[in-house]
Amino acid sequence: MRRWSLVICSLLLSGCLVPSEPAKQAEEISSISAEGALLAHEVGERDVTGTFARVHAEALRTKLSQLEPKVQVDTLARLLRDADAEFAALEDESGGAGEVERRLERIAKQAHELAK
Amino acid sequence: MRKIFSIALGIIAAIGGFVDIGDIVFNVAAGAVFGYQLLWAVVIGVGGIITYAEMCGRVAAVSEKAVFDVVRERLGFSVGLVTLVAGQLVNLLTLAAEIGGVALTLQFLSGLPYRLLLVLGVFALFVVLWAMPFSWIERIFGYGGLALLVFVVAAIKLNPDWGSVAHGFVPSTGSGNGVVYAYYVVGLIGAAMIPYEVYFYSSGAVEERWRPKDLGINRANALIGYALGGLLSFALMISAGALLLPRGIHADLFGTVSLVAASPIGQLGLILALVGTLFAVSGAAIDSAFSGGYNIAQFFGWEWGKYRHNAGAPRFTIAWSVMLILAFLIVVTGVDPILVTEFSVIFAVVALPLTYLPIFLVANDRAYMGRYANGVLGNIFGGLYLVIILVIAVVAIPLLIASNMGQG
Repeated sequence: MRRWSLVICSLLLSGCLVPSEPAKQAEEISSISAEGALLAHEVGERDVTGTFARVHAEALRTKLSQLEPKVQVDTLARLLRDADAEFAALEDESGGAGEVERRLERIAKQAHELAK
Repeated sequence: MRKIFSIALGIIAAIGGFVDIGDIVFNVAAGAVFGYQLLWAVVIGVGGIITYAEMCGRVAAVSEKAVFDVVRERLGFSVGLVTLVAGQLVNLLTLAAEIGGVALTLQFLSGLPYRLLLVLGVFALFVVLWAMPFSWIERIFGYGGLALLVFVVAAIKLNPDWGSVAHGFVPSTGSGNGVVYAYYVVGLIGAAMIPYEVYFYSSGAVEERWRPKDLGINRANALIGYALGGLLSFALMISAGALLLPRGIHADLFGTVSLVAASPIGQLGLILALVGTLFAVSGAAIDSAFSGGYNIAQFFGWEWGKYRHNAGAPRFTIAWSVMLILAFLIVVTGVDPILVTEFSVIFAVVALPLTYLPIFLVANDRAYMGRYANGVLGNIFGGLYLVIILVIAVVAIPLLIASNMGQG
């Protein structure tokens, strides 16, 4: 039991849940960007409140920032930065939701291709 | 007429109070990864909680003893103490996860800082635990949780492939990563059968002074209330499967859950999802805090129960207060509530046999229960579920590690 506890604690503390393989990282960026695109779509349709959009966009950005230090592949690092910029626009409502949605969809597709 | 009304109210509260943060997290995440393929695992989990909630409600009504009275009596002090420690650790993790869920939901509604909302949320929970009568707590949070029925509407409006949905109710080995699939099977069954639900249910039966004449209410609450509550779990998984899976979105953020309701219904859907979640996780936080107090008080033979008021059961009151404070200290460190939820459910699975075995033994004991002992059907289901529980308890932690907490 103690051994299991140690394994689990080290799993948590080492940040093992942040993927280190490039394919998994690409999949993660794709998922976060796709969710951002969905959020931007709902913002454009006025299906979500401004508060919800801001808080959720911030949470998605935090996920990206946890991934950032582990990303070594240049293409992925660029996609991650681009996605982050779109989330920042969504968070402070500085970009048109439709444009943000399209750009995040494009990032999600590119990352998905890289994950294959 | 009055009795029927009372039964109906109990059932409604049971529906709204069925879902907690573990159900929300595991159902939505499973739907996002495997679509409708795991609906059968929810059926198994709901069947398990119906079987054992009915059993421990019956034991409480006949013997006027709740789960940890029975645990101490049947397992003896040493094994009983191990059960108590395991049960309390799981309760604490569950409570921490629920409190985190309360603060996150309040943040989506208000935009205020998470840690401030943690403090406000815990204070509000303390006031409710301290001052509100037991029956009010049960009803208010149960009825509020009914707002989660918005996910049933969302599931229908998202127009899923109903053929695939129906296929999901047939047990299968699933497609995709087998280890991750198995992890979700264990998580879904564990989330539905999480032990604090039976601790609270049986203690509640004693609080409300159930007697053998109330066994009809017990059966109705367990059977109809939990079965209809299971509908919410289906709706969460179906909605996530229809909306998130085709877009390749993994649901590992709490906000994703409400987005699932907002997308097909709009702002009303979002607000109802957030309000329903707030009541559901607050209610579960209250249940798990009380369960912590109930368990320790029953095990050591202290005075317990809301009906005695706080001054009439001081050690019980201190016990749930300490649980609340410890859980707050866990989440205020900044640990991700979703992560705590997954750990609480998986560790709960490990502790399941120790909780459910004594209930089964007592419910089956004719010397103790007389004519209210388990019938053939109760023994078949109870025995079957014990086997399932033992299997998932053995594989839970290896699966947690091998699947990297479901990340693959």
